Amino acid sequence: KVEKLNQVKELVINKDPEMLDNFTDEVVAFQADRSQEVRKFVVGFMEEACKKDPELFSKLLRNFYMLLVDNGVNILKKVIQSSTQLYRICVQWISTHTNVSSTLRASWKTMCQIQERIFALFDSENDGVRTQAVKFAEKVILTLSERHRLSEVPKKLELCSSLDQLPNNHTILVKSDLKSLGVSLLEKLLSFVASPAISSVNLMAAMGTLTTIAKQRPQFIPTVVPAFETLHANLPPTLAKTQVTSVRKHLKMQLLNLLRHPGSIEFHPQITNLLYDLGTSSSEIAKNMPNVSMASKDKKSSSKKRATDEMKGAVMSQSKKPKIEDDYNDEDDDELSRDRKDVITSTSRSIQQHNAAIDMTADEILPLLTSENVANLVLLSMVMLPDKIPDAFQASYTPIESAGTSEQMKHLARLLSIQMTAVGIGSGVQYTADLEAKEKAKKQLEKEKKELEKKIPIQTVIGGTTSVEVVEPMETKQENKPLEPIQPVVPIKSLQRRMQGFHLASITKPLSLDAKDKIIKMAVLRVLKSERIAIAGGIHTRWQKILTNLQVCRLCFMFNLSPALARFILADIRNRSQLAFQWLYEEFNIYLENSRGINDKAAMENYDACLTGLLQGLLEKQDSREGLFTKLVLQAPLLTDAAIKVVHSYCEEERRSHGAMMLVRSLLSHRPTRKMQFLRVLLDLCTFKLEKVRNDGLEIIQELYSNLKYRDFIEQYAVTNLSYLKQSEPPADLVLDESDKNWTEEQMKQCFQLFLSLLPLNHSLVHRVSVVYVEASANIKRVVLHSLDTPVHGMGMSSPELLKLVEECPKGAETLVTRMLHILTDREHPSPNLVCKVRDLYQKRVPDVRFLIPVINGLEKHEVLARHFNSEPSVSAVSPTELLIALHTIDQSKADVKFVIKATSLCFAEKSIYTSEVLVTVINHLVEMPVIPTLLMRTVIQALITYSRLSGFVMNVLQRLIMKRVWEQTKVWEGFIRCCQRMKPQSFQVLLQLPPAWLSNVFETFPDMREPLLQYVNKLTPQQV
Amino acid sequence: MPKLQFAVVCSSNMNRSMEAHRFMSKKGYCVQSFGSGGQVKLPGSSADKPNVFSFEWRYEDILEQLKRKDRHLYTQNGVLNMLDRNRRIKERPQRFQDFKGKFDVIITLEERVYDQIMEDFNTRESETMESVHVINLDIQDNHEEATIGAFVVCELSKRLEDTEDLDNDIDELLQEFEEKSKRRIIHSVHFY
Repeated sequence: KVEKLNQVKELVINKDPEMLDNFTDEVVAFQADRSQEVRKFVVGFMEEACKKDPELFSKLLRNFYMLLVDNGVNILKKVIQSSTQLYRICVQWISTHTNVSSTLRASWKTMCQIQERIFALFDSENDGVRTQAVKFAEKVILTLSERHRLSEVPKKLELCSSLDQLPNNHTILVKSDLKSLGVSLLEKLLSFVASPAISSVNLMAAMGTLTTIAKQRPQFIPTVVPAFETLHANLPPTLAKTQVTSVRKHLKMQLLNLLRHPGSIEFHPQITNLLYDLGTSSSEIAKNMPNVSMASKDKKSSSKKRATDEMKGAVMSQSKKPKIEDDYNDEDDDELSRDRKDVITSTSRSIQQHNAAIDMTADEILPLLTSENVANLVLLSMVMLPDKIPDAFQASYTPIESAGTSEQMKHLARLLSIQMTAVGIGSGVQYTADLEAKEKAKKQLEKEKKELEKKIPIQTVIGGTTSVEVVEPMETKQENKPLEPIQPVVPIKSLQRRMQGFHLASITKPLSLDAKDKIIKMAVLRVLKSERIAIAGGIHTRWQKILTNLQVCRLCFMFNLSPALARFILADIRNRSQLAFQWLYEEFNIYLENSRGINDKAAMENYDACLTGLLQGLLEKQDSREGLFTKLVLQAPLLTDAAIKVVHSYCEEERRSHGAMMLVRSLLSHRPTRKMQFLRVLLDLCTFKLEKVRNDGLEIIQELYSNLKYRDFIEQYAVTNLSYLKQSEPPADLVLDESDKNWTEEQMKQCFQLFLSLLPLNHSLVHRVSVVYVEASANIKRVVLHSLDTPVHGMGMSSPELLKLVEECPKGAETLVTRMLHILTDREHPSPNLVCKVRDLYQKRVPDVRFLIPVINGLEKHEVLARHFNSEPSVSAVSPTELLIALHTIDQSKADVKFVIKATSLCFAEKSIYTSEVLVTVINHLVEMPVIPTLLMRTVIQALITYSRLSGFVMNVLQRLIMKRVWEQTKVWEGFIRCCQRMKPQSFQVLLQLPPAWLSNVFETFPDMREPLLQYVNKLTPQQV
Repeated sequence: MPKLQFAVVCSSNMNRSMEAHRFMSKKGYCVQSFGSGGQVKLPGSSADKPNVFSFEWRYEDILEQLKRKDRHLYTQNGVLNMLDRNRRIKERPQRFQDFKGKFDVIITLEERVYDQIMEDFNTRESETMESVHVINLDIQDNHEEATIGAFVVCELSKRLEDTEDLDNDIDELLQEFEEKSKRRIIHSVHFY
């Protein structure tokens, strides 16, 4: 279709222009075609047609206007493109008609509508459309302004069009109107360039446009150069880094272009400054410089900074010259002047005043710029800086070379002052305002200020060398002196401003950190509170998800939600445990995502805080079930050190220790990577100060000890602890009371209990005990001896290691060995093996009879005696009492009674040792035994013989024997009767207490007892009977 | 959507732009190649003695000339090979500034070339206001880099070709491409 149409176009337009009129309608009818290509063609056709025959404007402009609302982006762009060229042609066409027809008027109106519409497209969403709109603006502005003496003239003459080509008194195209229209359009373009959200393509297109305008219409150079300056200092923050590079490169190119233009000489200082800032070498600049007078060159070379200082003010004033100019024109049309210079003189007063205001404020600021003040300003404005360095700033930042010099300070003061004047504060402004009021030129000043305000938004300074210092002039001011009243801006005037696109960012201010925190916190707490509603609504899981996500979102950590959430969970742990887990896993997720990243540590810490927080909470909550704690520990994806510590302290509670330790045990098998850590926990608990805890721990350790993997570690630990006993003071970590450095029994137990508990499992350890024992203090020895019962029983006397110990018995460990022997033989007979060892020991190495005592039952009787004779009873560890008792209790079946009798009589012979008191003790002891020893009565009689004063005691014994039914043991009974015979007559009293049958038995044995007893009975008083 | 008109430009229209030209036309793009320098320069017997030709010379003639000069050396450094390839693509090197056609996208392969193109556009008068995107990718001037560069250029072209609305998307597209290819890109827009 397009091809066919193309043929038609070729035919109609080029071959046979006469037919154009006829076919136009037919072709244009296609503009409603569905195909974009066709519509695009129609636009092209119309453009060609109009160029060929301007008369068709009256017909086709409407169609253009209609197509402007087309939603095809490409069509739109094509229409703008065409309009760009047609605008000029249209203006020329209208100007050629001197007699005004209504169609002409209507066409112009449409053209104006088109132009407005296209300018409105600055706000289009499409980048390409905006770009084309910018280009359109270029042509329109060029058309609507006058050629200048220095104007660069396009090569193709027909392309050139300017206001001065128009006849002076055209009815439709009133020159002054058009001119002001052109200026206002330029302003729109400038504000578009200054908008912070401009894209790089638009920006570059606009820069190109501005340069073209400046070159062809040098009267605009004063507007364009400051615009570039502002732009350079304030590149849109939205640009990416390389875009910034591209834009700067483009800007540099445009500036070099301008530099070459003869009309820009006055602005060379600014332009070269900008070029330097953009990284252009001075040779490059010099190359592009047109012939410049020596004077200006000198000025430039004097001082770059200084030049900026001086020019700043000039720029400020000159930048608004055109505007003032058009203000002026509004007021009196006739005073339209060709020469810019005239304008300056006519408006110079206000400019001077403005400059004076800036100077004045600057002078005032200068002395205030002490380093302290500046530092304060910098610090203050730090808060206002964005989190990230904008690319634009980074690309354009150059260090301040001459910081601190008086020149730089002047420059700074001036910059501040410009900013302040721009927003209408400072004494200078006040001053000029007063002045103005007096001269009744106030209105103009306000207008001017308003424009200035528009021109230099406060943020402009971001990119400048003095950026930081001047970010917030308002605040600055408040710091230095009381805020002076800001000049009111006439509100009606401000309405005249172009409607700007709505930019949220430009009208909102960031919240203060505190406020932000508070708001976030409140929001999160509200979410927390909505639990019940969430459950009711059946979205509990989502509610949980939200919470956990909120939690891990780093924002929250600014005020740290963790404690709040942990508290919340702990408040109703039963129902919120799921939330707890979710939270925990979420944290872990974050950790995993960040692992090996830079946030690795932080993520780990967060996770750690979460886990320990929950565990600690459960730990402190006395009423909570242990199940949850266990569950949490077992299911946590990762146990941190801190978490293990919590588990540790959990174990230390007496009430929970058992369950807790079972937990640790299962952890030991569930988390092999950290098993040693858990083992360590358990071992630590084995030396804990509470006995219950210790015992629980020991139980588990004994179990674990059978596992070869843990064996070494446990042993080592036990040995270390045991070896503490060698020291004179308990180790620091066991000491509870700093002042008391002595071992307490509890502390000793803490040290050796673990080890002793291992003894039955590994007999070979017993040797270590002896080593430590030897070195330990007496006090410790005592406690150790007392605690040996269980372990030694556990080992049994058949243990080869134990036997070895007995055999080797290190020096100093005799008491230990003895004690062991005692324990071993306490309840059972010593095994022959043991006896043998002891005997060997005794014979070969340590001739100390004390060893023999425990095994005495196993010794041959003669040995016993032999040893006894050889030993010095007085130094013997076995007391005389013990010896005698032992002799009595020797098993009859093993030892010959005669030997025993011999032994006892030897005892009795030693009167110095076996005093009556000793004998009493022995007899008392023997009588109390369940089975009365056979030799008892013999001993009693012996005692009686040796110490006749014991008769009273013996009577007592006899009586006790009756209680014990002495007659049931024949031997003893014999001895009893014998004794009674010896004791008569006192013994009658006892005899009478015997049962009659046994009494007669007495008489049978000793008939001669009968008579004396009878007499004794007869003598008894009736009361006695 | 009609096909985009591409131009690839390097300094001499010999190595980089021709490699890209070859590669892209093989892939079916509308592409032309140019040089932007004043003359065509080729490596000579030493670094300070390059072979200089005007843009009038045909590839064929240059090939013959160099063959005569030092066949061995120019076979060795691959110049003959390159010229042989070039003459199969087009007759002679073209200078961008002298070409009157219009493009949608101009890809320059060196920043200096990019500057020259910008300069050229500055001296041209904009008339129809049709936009053209000038994009710079830095590629070193040797055979290997040229081959790699051709791939990159082709990849970029594909993206540009695939997009619905080039003017609107190019900003984003270039940023993405920059990130992916790790090459620095300069971009600007000009008008015919």
